[in-house]
Amino acid sequence: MLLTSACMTTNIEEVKDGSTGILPEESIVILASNYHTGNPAEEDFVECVVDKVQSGRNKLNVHSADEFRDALFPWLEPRTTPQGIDGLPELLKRPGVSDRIEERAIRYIIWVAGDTERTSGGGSLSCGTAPPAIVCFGLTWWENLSAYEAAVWDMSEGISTGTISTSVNGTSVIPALILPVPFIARTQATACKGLSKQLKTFISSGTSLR
Amino acid sequence: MAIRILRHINHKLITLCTISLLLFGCAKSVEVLTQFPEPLIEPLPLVIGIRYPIELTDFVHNEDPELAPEWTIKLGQANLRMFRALFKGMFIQTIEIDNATKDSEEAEPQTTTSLDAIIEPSLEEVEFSVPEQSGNQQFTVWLRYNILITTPEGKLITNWRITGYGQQDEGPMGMGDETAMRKAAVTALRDAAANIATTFSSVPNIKRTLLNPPNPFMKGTEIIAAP
Repeated sequence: MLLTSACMTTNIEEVKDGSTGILPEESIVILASNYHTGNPAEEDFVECVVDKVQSGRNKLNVHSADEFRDALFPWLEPRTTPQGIDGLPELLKRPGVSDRIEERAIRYIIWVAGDTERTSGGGSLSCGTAPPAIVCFGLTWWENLSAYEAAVWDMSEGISTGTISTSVNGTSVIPALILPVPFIARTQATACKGLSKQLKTFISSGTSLR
Repeated sequence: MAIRILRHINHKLITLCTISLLLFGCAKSVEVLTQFPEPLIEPLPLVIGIRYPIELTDFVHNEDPELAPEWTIKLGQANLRMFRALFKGMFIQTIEIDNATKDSEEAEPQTTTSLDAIIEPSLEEVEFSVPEQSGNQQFTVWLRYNILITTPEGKLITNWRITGYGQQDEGPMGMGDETAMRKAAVTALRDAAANIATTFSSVPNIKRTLLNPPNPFMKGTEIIAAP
């Protein structure tokens, strides 16, 4: 079966509130945001961002999110996580929290929110068996929107240094005349690639290294 | 020819329907065996006896909801691991008390003389929902524990009910129902532990009896001189 790509439009925006930069021995942690405060990114999306950020050009050290959550337990659980940057100073003041962060050389926490959803679709595709083959006729299509946002918190300063948002809109089409030929818009994978690339640039290209 | 094709399609559909029914009817089972971290908090200066009832450590929840397969969720070992890690980090010392001593008048005083209090947790209620029921992609688990706290002599300090909630997205490709349910249960257990760790000191009866006990030498604001 042929698998071809469909049309997509990508939009990436960056808001930088402070200077960034990172030392080679420092790391970042990438966490899905809290479901009490927003729409946490899917687990596989966060895994994709982690993979992309810690590989390729300008790669960064990414610390294990599970290990970090355990080390700071119970302060990064859904009910206790800071609701926003305003809650960060309180978190850092809790006994042992700053020490655990310093021991792991965590410079930034990245909170990833968002999701991929089907915004519209239509058409009709019917398949049946006519031995020895499967025969399909018709056309079906759907439109996906992948919208994600990464909030970057600088743990050394206890401040927010900005946000990166990406939205990818894509239409997938499967026309079929005996054989179906899918044109799939991989919006989530494209959003992951775009967000990760921008995140690496955002953190690495700062002017301040502490 | 067309009739033959339609007949063939009908046979395929019947087979697919049968397979779906069989899958739908399959019971699912999950055992939660995760390790839990100790809380990063200042331990309270209390020596606490912990009694883990067998109903907690062997806890199994079985439910056959409408529109979804039957589920068995084994939480016994997870309960024990969660509470052990939690209480170890919450108090300067914990001593596990054998269930057998509960009704025994002989063993109890020896074990409990040095204790500030005895805690006996129990899991009173479990609820869950699966995507077939909720219509979204979420597996959710809700737990309600009762934390019975008594003095070493058995006098009630408080019956403290706390809850834990966890949800897990099944993911676009599906990570497997059992994996998603297990993760939702782990999140709920961690949430319950976080709830206990962060609010224990503010429960009125605990605060009054264990953390700010009345000074035996104080009576109102008048200081009674020690003999």
